[in-house]
Amino acid sequence: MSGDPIKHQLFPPDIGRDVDDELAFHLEMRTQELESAGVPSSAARDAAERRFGDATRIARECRAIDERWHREQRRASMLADLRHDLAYAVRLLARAPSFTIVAAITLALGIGATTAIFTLANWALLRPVPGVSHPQELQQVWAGQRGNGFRPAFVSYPNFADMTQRLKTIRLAGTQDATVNVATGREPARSMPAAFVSGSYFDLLGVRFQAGRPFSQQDDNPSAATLVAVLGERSARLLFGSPEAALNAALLVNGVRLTIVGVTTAGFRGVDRINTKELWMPGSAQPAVNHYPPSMRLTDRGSGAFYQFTARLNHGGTWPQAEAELTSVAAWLAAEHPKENSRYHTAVGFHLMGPIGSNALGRERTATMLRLMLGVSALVLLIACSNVASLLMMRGIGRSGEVAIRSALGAGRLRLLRQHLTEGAVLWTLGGIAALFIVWVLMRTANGIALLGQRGGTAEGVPVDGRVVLFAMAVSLLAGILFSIVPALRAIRGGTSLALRQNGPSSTRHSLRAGTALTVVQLALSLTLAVGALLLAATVRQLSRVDVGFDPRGLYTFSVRPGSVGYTPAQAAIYRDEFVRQLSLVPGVQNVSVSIRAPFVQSVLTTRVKVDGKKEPLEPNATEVLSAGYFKTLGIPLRRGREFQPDDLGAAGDAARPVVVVSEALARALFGDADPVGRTIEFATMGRVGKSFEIIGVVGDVRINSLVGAPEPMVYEPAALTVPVRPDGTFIIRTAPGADIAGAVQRIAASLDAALPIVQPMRMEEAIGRARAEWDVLSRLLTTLAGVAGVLAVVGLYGVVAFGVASRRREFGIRLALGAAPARVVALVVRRTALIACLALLLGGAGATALARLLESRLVGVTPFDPFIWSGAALILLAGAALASWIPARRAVSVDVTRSLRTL
Amino acid sequence: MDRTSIDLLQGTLGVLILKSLSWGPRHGYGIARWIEEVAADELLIEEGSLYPALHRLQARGLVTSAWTISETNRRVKSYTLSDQGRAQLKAELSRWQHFSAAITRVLDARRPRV
Repeated sequence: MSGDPIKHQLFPPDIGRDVDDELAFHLEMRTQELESAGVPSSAARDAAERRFGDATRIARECRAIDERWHREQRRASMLADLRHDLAYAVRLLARAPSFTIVAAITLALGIGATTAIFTLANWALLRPVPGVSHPQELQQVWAGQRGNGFRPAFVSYPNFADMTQRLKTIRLAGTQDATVNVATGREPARSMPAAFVSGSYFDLLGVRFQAGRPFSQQDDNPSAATLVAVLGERSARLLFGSPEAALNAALLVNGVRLTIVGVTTAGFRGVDRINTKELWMPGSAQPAVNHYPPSMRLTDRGSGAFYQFTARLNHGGTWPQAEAELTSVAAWLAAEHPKENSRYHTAVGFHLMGPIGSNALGRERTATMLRLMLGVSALVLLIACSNVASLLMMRGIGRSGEVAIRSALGAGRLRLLRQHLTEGAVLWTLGGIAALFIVWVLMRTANGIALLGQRGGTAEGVPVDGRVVLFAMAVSLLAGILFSIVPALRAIRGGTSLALRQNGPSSTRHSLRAGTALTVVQLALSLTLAVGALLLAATVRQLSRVDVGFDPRGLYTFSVRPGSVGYTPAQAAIYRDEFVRQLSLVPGVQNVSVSIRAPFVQSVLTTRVKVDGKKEPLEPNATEVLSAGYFKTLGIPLRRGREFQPDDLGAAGDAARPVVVVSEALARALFGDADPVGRTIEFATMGRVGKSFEIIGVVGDVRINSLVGAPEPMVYEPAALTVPVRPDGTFIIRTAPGADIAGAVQRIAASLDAALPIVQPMRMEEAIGRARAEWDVLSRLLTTLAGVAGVLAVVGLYGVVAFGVASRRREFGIRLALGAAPARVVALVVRRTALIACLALLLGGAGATALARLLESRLVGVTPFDPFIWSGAALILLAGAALASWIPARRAVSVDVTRSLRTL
Repeated sequence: MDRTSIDLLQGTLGVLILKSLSWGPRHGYGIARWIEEVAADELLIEEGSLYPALHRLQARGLVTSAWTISETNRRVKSYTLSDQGRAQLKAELSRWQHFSAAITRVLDARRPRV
């Protein structure tokens, strides 16, 4: 029963039968003995059984013991085999350190590229949002109109209260993002990303607190708000030294005194990983903190507080149920309060917008981008793996003797195969570990937000967690086994007789053919990547040369929000004027202009414009101009008519004149080729409806948000169309080339009012660069990966060609000895490489076609089949191939004739 | 004659089996018979309980087993003491001797002088 464990594995013993036989034998022997002692045979059997005891129970017990024993033995023998294989593999790899190192580095590059992208995806899409309990039960709910983008519709406190009461499958917490000025009275004010939240927010998310308490429902009372705040752990340390010190301290938010009642746990930064928050205030504190006029009351059903919500599914509910409930609640609100809620009748509603963690609209884009990046890095992995596979194959030829001996000694095919696969797995795991190390170093210093080509809150290292490690190890093991199957089969093929009989050439040729095939694939894949990289590089180049309609060089911009700390419009105007006066004294400043928004910095404002007589309104973008000289400062050319004059803009506290300047695109859309100057349009923005405005000028088209597509039509209106003027402003400054005024701007701001920080200071070129960030990231990544792929492929080709030359050394020697011209021998080598290159061109062309189609939607100013780019990529491939064959060809000619003949 | 019976202590059966195998391979019935003879019916064991004990010894590697064909042309499973089993037996014997000597000393002790 004991004995060979392998035999046990293949022919498991029949335990039940063995036990039965054994016990039956005992009973029989006893019966016989009793009979021979004179007991009658019928009584003898009974007596034997009595003496034996409960045979069924004993048999069962024996079987259980034996079965457990066999299981243990099987496991032990498998473990022993694995340990043996592993030890053998490690010994072999250690014996050839240069091979092992080259292979491991190659694999580390491939696995590292894939793992790095996966780490990003893991962080941005898969990892739970830190500091939130059971985030998988949460979804975003947005109120508004879905369509091309999203038009928010703010939900008022009375409506929100009704919703909360009527919703059974989900609970809701409202959030409203805000950037606020924060001061402690000890240091200069700073701008901080914050959110107004409903009283249910922290409880619903399950956020833990480092100190103090979360908001209560009493804090969030629209008729009598408590002025309290919750601070993030990091900000608490930064501003007060420690979370405990921050507790009950006063915080000036937009000039309003709030009491800090709690500090959240360190990891929590809100529900969006990218736009992280540091400060939370009750939603009902919005009127106080935002300095709303007294006429705006949150208790009005027609007012608005939140449009973004976080929803937690109640136990037993489903999301489809929740969606149906939200629809019926919207209908109920419209029916119950038709006057205030008429909009819920139309397309406005409550929409489920997917899991929390990132902006609902941005997530799809991030996911597509990551998928693309993951696909590309998988190609590099493929190249690296096939490279090492062909290395293994060539090594396999050198080991045919060892294989022959081992199989002659009785190692089975299966055993040999397993040995080779174990070697592959060990090698690939080595590469995987190195890859993880590279990724870990990379991610510690990386800014994930920038890596995704997005802008957002605080940048922190991207975590390398258990899932990433698992991914890297799984990829390594899987690829290791997959890519060592062919070399393994090739190495053990033929077994004893074949390998011992022949000493090389024939099996060499087989392996060479497989190596050649792998090389073709590698070159083809790198051609694919090269085409993709060049296409994106061309796109980035095009984007950086896009004419934005104004001259961004030397432009500097920043915003101030005097309204946020309680300035009246008149005070704000004085503040702005003084700021402009002091700025114009700074050396290097040529022009200063103030408006409400600057291109590529602030978000877009859309308006509705109608010409009398025409039915269809247009929806151009709008900019509100505060000071004359806007067009001159930006460098936007005036085509017809005139610019705004100080009188037009309502200087000295008067209302502005009803005049506008339009862009060429808008003028053309409204009036065709006719002169628009002097004509009037009907125009509505920001609640100001339907007045007639005279067009006084036409200016050149500009881009204000996107570098792609045609410039959108624009209308420029005086900001002071209604008195009082909005107190906020964005400064646009034209400086002399090379002038740096950032320091001067900060100094002036601090001297004018230390409690009023400047917001979003940046160079215009930087702002435009952010609009290019996504392409930049993708292009840089593809270029890097294509470079790695190209080097690997050329090295692989070199290996195959060099090996081919080495194995044909004798043949070349004979040819040369018989008088062949060296050029002919070189031609032999080159012909072979040329064939490989041609096949790679064909195959890579197909791959590049697929990739170009995939990238098509992201290409700007370049067609997917740009002939220059395609021939450029082909030339790079051919140059690489030429380089890889030149050195071995040289060696072929330098064969020492006499020596190669002697080994014949 | 009065029959004194001793309940077998847990694990003692294993030692008896090892001892019975110390002169060579035996089958289960042979072991039962040997214990019967040597103990002269002073040890009462349920014969069946011998087998789980045997299988347990095998799982622990103290005995090995093999199937042979008897003269009557039957499959017979016979057990052999392994090296490990022999060492175990030796250790158990010396343990038993120490133990019984100690018990004997205690039971033979005279009344202590105060």
